[in-house]
Amino acid sequence: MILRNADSPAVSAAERFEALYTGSYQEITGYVRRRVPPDAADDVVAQVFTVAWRRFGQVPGPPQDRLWLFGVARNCAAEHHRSATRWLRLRARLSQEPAAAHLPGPDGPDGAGPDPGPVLAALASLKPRDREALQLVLWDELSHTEAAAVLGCTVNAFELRYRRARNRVRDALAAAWADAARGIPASDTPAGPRHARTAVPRMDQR
Amino acid sequence: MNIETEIRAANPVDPGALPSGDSPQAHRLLARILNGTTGYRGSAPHRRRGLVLTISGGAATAAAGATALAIALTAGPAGTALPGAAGGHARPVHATVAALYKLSRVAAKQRASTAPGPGQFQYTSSVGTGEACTVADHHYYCVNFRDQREIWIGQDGSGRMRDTQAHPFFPTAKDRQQWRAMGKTAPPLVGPPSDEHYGPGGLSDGPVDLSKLPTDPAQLATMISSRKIEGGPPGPAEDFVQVGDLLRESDASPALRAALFKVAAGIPGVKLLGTVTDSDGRSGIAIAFPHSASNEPSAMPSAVPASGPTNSSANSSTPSPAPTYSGSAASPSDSPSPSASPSPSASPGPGDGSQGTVLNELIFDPDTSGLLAEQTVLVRPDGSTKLLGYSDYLLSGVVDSVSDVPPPSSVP
Repeated sequence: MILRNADSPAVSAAERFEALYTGSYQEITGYVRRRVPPDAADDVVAQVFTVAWRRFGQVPGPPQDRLWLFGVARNCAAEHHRSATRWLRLRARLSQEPAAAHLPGPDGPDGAGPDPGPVLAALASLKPRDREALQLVLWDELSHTEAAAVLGCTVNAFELRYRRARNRVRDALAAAWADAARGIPASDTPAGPRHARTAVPRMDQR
Repeated sequence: MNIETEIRAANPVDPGALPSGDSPQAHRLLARILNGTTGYRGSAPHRRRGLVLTISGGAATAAAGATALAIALTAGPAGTALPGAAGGHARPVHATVAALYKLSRVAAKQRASTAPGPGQFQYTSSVGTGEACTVADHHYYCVNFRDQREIWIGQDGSGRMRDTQAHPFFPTAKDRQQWRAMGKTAPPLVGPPSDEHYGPGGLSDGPVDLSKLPTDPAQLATMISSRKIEGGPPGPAEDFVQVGDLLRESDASPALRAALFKVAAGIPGVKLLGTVTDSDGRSGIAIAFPHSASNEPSAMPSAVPASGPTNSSANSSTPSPAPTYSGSAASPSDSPSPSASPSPSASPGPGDGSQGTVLNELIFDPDTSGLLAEQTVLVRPDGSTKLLGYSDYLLSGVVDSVSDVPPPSSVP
């Protein structure tokens, strides 16, 4: 592993950290906000970068440094869910009344929460790592190779997981839309997912 | 339809609306990080209820209370994999099974507790260890402290949380050294007492109802191990954590609690420790899940008192009364004796790490089966022990307002 500190010793650690921070702040913030409730997202973002600063001597050089940050963010988000809401999620899952809509984190429960619309509901029904495979590529805009690195698996394994997850979402959506078509006017059917999406509180607005 | 387009369109966060790295918000956070003012002391309204052990890449760190950072630090980018997931854990031996079945019988005989109704709150008082870490330009240190917490959670997710941190001490001499080096720029070692109120949904995602879980041990075990109740990594280590989560719920029915003890008896690797005294001086029956510790965790010490000449914290001058591990059965070996003595030949456990074993312990009241406390204890290869963290559950009950406290009766 090439240590960042060894790359350019003439530049101070703080300056190099600032460069990494500035370049990755937006996408790490997006990653966290998609997985952590708004009231906790800022804390988790701060935690990610504080960890990065504390361990800056171990951060690999570019472009792996960015993926390393995603890995830290993934762990921080997962730990947030485990520490903050594991028993709350448990109760929400067991309750008859649905909890507030938000997708579970990267290691969240399978199919937790209420129906937040066909697409989000289909995502929520996936196993956590399958869901994360789709989210990393389609929401966080990582390449398959990068997403595989974040998840700690081979690219081949990632491809398999990604395809499986995509196909399951496709099947779930087809079923949901077929149900919707039976219950509402046909002219409304194609817009189903988009209408459903607007009914879901945005994670960055709640 | 293009399924990927549909998923992209469902992105709950608009990338265009995200603050950039040059935004004022980003600059403020960067300044806080570089100035060392991004501690994690109780800023979030949540904490894990109990102790957690996460192991990655052979390193082990115990976390208690607010110690989320420590977990994040040990977990690598590739994610975590608990050793239990890899197998290799033996089924609990007869003595462990017998003790858990006895607790199951005790649990079944208890009076059912009531869940909070509309307008009511579930109150829990606990004391445990917390940790806050501070980062500055060239310094990094962590402080452990005693964290006393009261929480009221309503059926609608509203409530109140009162938190007091006290008796700070440094986990290691290096932390103390780093703190000293910061001089007067170091923030107070512990934060001020907090007392926060939350509206509906602020503390909990939904109303309380544990009644939907099966009370048949086999069915319950299947639901737990398949992560139908809670998410989490596979393997017996997580099974044990989830059983602990459910046993912690004070309004779980006697039948459910009875079943949970039987589920625990079937988790490979679970061991009976015998009678252990918690940090509050109460004796109970302890069961544990051992993890290997190839690197000695740096948490609760051998405390280095957090007293010093430069800090302004009112508590910083208090020599640390660090909780001490008071277990009378420190060995992870499976002992049929309810009062086993510390064993100098403590088994390093399934992981046979060079630094010994970390025990994730649950301590139960033998008379009521209630969960008294949780502890994480390092057992070194030479049999010596070190308490890494704890949570003692002191009082629990249903109350009518966030100003009420239940009468002293039973633990959760």
